[in-house]
Amino acid sequence: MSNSEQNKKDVPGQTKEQSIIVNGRPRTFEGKEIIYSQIVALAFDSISTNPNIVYSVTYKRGEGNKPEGTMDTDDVVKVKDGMIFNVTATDKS
Amino acid sequence: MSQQLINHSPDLQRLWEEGLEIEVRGAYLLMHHIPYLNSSSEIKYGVLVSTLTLAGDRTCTPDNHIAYFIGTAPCRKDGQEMTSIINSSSTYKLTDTIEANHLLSSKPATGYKDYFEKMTTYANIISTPAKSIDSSVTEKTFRVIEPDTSESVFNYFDTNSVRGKIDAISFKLSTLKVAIIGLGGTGSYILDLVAKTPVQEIHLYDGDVFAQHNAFRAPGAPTVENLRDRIKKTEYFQKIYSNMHRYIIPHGSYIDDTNLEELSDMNFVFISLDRGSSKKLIVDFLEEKNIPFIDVGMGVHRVEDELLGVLRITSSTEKKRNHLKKRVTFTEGVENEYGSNIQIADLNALNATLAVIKWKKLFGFYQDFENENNTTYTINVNMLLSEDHEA
Repeated sequence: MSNSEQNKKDVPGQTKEQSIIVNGRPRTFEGKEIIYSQIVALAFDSISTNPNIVYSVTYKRGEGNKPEGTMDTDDVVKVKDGMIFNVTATDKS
Repeated sequence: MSQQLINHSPDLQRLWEEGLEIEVRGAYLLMHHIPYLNSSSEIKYGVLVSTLTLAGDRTCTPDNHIAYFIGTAPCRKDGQEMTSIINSSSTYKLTDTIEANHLLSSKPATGYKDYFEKMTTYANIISTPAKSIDSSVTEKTFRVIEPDTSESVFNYFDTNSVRGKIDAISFKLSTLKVAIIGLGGTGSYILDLVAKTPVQEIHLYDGDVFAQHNAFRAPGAPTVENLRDRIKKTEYFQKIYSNMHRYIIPHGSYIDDTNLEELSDMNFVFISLDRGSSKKLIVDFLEEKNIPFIDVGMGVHRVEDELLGVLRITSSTEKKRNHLKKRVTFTEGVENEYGSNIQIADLNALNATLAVIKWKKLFGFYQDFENENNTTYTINVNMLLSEDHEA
């Protein structure tokens, strides 16, 4: 099934459960789009995150026309089943 | 340096003793005052140039048979150019001070056994027509060429750039004073790479001692005695890299209000520091002084029994600076929250390498069509991304 066929079936407001990988671990995410803070929360589950820390968020195997990239704090990306996210504060040297 | 090379190399010594006007400049051998005929059968004098294959302070067997000539095209007595040895004519910018006009090629079946044979063979071929017109002309002037006193930043010549014919490109970096702030894993690999470039000065800033865990993410292999000494990282690395590069200046402390001003002399700064809070001070200062810099960092995590993570290289130049705050953390790190400060030498080396490549792009050493100011490498998906392009 191609992306366009799949999109036609999507009804507004319908929640879809998708399997993604965040920092090497399988996670499920409900919804078509994910924002920066949601992906950071999925990466570090129970631990509260410091808003002053900048996380490098990268993704691959994403939606057709932008299958890979990074996310800034105000970015939103479309979620696709099997998408791989990596989230880390790149502050060590 | 040049005189020492001549003294230690029997072939150069013999050229000098026989009165040939030789000069060593960089890793090139020049032989001046070679008589030749131009196309109007007038006697002119040109310069023969050859690369030098060296082993430290002495010559080895020449690794190629070609030579260069500075002057108009040498001709036979009939006024025709010596096409038998002139391979091509153009402008050959060998170094910033050596520009040749002709590429010569005359290859004996067994090659040249040393530079005496190579240089005298070419000199004989080129000067024979001139000498047959006027027997008094000679290349053996016994004139003394003053050794090149402009000191190289290296303790021995950069024969690698000469072999690759890129010393004119390497020269682009030679006016720079560079600072490396933080000599952890990544900073020490940055030093390893920058020390192999002809930059004018390399300033090292770090207040810590070189400890055992540092050994596992630094270039080279320290002895246990090195670790017992517990000397400052800046001194440890200055000592090693001064074997090769002359002007490495250890500062033995981090950057704070008291020494921040020292950075105003720098043409480029590498920031390889964990301490986010002192980064703010440095970054603000560099931006105010309009000094370009690169900040590097990595984050590595353990998941079950494997590691994953991201490396980041963020540059800031006068053309683009506004992306810094969304890429770099300026508060204390997450170390305490997650108890994770995993660094691995190969990742430090890659992070450093990507930073040094970008620095070289900024100064025109490598071609750059992308003009990105943020690069990430994500380990588990093998992904290199460019972002924050110049507007």
